[in-house]
Amino acid sequence: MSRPNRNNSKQRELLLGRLTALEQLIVQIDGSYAAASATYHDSELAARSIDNARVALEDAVKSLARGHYDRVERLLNVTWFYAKFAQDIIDAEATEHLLGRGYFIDLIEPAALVQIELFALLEQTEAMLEKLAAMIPEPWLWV
Amino acid sequence: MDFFERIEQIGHLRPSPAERATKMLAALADALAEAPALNEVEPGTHTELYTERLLRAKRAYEKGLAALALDDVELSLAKAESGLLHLEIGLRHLRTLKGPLAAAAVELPFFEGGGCEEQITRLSDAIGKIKQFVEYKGLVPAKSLKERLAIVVQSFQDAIENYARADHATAYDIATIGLIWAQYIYARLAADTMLAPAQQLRRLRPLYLFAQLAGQAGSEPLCARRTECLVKINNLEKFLQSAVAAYFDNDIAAMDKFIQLGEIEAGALAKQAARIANPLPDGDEALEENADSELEAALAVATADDGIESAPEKGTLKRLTAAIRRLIERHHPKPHKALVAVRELQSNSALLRRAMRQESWQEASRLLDLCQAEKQILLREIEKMTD
Repeated sequence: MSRPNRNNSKQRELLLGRLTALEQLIVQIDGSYAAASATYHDSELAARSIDNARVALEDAVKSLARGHYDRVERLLNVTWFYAKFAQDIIDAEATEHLLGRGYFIDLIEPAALVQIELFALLEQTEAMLEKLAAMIPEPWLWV
Repeated sequence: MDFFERIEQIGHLRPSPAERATKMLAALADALAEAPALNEVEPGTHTELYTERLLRAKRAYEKGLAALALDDVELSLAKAESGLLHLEIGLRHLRTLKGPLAAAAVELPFFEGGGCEEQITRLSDAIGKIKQFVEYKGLVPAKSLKERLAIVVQSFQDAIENYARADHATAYDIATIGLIWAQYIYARLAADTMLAPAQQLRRLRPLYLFAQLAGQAGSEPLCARRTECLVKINNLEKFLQSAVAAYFDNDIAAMDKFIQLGEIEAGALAKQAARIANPLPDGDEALEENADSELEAALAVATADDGIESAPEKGTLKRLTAAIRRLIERHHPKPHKALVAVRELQSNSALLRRAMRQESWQEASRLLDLCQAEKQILLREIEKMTD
């Protein structure tokens, strides 16, 4: 009977510890985000980063179940990058709020604004296509 | 015991996959039965997370049983392992008391110096620093600068995605590009250095230095209202972009050339900004203007073959579809269908223009119908952005 790989067990234990702590951290950051968005500003970037952190964490859980420890380590780092980033954004906006100002810089354009811009571009495209349509003669004139 | 009896004996010592799946599901069932009920847990622990993991463990158990009943042993084993892991994580949450956590307190991952993880973290910190500075000072950055910042944020996300795919080299390069532009943006906003060039990799120092110089040259607030300054700022950004591209193409000579040209332009912009801030007496202005126009002429000759692309003519279908495509690529949560439609629209509109020029009216009419159809698909996909 082969001896269990102690290094693997130790590594697994470390990864499991980090995974658990990161999951708790995401919940805490999400709580801060919820409070901020209900009170002064709904940061789309913070929300997206928290979602990305969650997705990465779940991928890490799946990889841990399959014993792919290198991939787990990488995914936990990805989770940490996104979680820390979300926290930094929320902290910066808390500063703005504490200073009593209400203007928040969105580091990414909110989806609603991008949508407005896209609709406007599509309208211009429609107008150009109509111009071209008007230049095409009636079918009975086609050679 | 003969050879075949021995084989049979060994076969009995190792359980078959189906037996293993059954044993693991049984272990999971036992573990679920022994798991503390919600009214038995200690208050102040992460009970919500425990509940979530417990539910997932139960779902995994049910799926494992269903898979075993259908003789899908592999899936059954996977679900059993997954269920046990969910329960293990849940129980760990129960053993941890709730308390304030900061990202830095979560066993800070150890990143080797010079690695892509460190570079990504530095980029995250740089973006955070810019955001903090802007919020603290109550600044309202110009639209073009906000767009640059959005690109830096996108670089951060792209670097992480490449890192997740284990493409460390690309992740490092993308993070580095983001850092250089973050340096420029911070210098524009704060007229100050964010990342000391002397602390960067030797071969990257010229780029960080130039980014700082270019940013500081355009940091005078009055510049934002003067067309001649905005033109120079635009040129500086093009030089920086070209210098960065040349570096990553391993063309150091070209990188140096763009930096040199950029330094001349930065000097001219700084002089212009100083003039705007402190207007000269009338007589001296003419002399200064002549010097500037000679400089512009010299730059025009120097940049003639640099291949800096100019945007397609404003108002054309080509410009419109290119702008639509860029926005969808960057912002649409599920861009695939929309991108297919916009690519078809770009291709068919180019064919339409050709058919119109050749007076192939039947073909033009057909292509026009296709463009209209693709436009409708785009409209539907764009509506989904805020669903």
